[in-house]
Amino acid sequence: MIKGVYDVDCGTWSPQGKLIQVEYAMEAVKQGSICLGLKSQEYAVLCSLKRAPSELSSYMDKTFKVDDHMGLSMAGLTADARSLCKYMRNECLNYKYNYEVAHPVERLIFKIAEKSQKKTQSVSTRPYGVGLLVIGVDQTGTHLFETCPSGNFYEYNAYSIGARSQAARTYLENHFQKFSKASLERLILHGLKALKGAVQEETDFNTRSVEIAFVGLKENFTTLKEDQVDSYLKKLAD
Amino acid sequence: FFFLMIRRPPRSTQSRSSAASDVYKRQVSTQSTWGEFFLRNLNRKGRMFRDERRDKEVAVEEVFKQASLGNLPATLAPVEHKQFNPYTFNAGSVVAIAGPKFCLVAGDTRLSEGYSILSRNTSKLVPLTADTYIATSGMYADFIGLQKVLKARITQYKFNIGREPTTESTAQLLSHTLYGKRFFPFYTFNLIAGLDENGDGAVYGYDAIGTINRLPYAVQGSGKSLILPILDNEIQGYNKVKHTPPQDLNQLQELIVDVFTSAAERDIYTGDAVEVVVIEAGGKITTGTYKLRRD
Repeated sequence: MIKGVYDVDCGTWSPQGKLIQVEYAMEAVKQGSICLGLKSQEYAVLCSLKRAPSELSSYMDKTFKVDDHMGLSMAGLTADARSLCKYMRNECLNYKYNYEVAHPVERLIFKIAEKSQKKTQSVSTRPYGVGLLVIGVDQTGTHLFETCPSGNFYEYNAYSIGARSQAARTYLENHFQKFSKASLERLILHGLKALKGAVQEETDFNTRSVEIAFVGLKENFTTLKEDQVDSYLKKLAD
Repeated sequence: FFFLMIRRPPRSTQSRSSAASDVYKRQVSTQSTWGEFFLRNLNRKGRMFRDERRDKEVAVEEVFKQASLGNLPATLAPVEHKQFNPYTFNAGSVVAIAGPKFCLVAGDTRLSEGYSILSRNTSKLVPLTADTYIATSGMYADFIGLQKVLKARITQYKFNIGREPTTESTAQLLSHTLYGKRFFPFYTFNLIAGLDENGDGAVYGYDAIGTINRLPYAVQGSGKSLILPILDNEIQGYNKVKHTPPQDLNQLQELIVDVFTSAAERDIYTGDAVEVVVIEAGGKITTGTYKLRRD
């Protein structure tokens, strides 16, 4: 994968017209543990698989609340995700303070994209090594966005990033037409099915390693507790 | 012709006898600009002008002559500065009482300005966390500003520390938020009401710049001097020969409604309705509204 002399910094183009450092950063996202998102007209859901660095440690949280109406999950460098999340939280607070309404989702994604792009046009800093899946609601309805280290962002009805995410994407592609009017419960079950399809045999798929979060037009961003995750996993098994 | 605003220098220290009456004899000259001075002295023949600073009388003619040379008497045109007054008093009263395993906080719902009523149903009580309320009297605009700052800071606390702040922490937060504007204060007189870490009621009282005191009960606002002595008498038993402290929540609730009713009788800024909030353990909050006189 090493591309030779053109991959040293973001200030260098490769002859193929690529910024290799940015590509490497996107590779960090692909190596991160899987997370996926999907939405209906009323709800948006995130399902993630957590990793434990060792047998002795706890599983690292991947899902963060940004504001009452918005939250995110990530794949890649968790520290970078935390830094971006802190920025997003601050932006939401300031917006609320000044305008007394929730920060419109796309506008915040714009800001993240702008921040990310800056890091791809400098010799002295590195791009963010994390992809975010952001779910949120605002006046224009429910949203699911993906942000990239490249500074690009995309809006989806359903998507997945991280290790073995192609398997999850295949499931989502086959079923996404059913999501629009689905209930919250059905949506979460779809998410879990998609997630399960991307999990290897020996990986833990239980209440400790699975994270589910949702936000609704009338419901604040919530991360489900262990007992709630447990009941969904049981329903999945049936 | 040129118009000038000339500043009047402060009067030198007066002798004791004239100092008191000086307040009434404050000389605000009607000749507030050079132009007006000119107009008033169109017929200046024989007219005298009193130069305050040099403390002598001088012919008006001489004043004009000096003026043309650029020597204006400093006290010619005392400036009537429009005072910048950023504060107003929207008043009302607030009360908080701490009890075992509960806390009561109440505030009337009237907003006033001068002799006018701005609103009959504006709440002075705002929840900051699941078990802490802030109650404020004073200037409503500063109350809103203060509230916004506190809410944002508490949201940050929740993100950073992973739980809501305790009542004690919230009380501290209010204190240093107020002191942060020591030199242009929030014109707010606050109370914090909540539950301490043992689950018992906690009440904190403040002045406008953040002096913090934990108290068994507290009152702020226009009805303070009317309400506080009653609470001293009924709760603490001050000046009572035989005292039975209030037994329970219901008695205290009745007491609160009674003190507001009494305050409304005499204080023009207290009235319309009183909102009473009961904070109990486990996030149980009960609100009730009781009518007061509307005049």
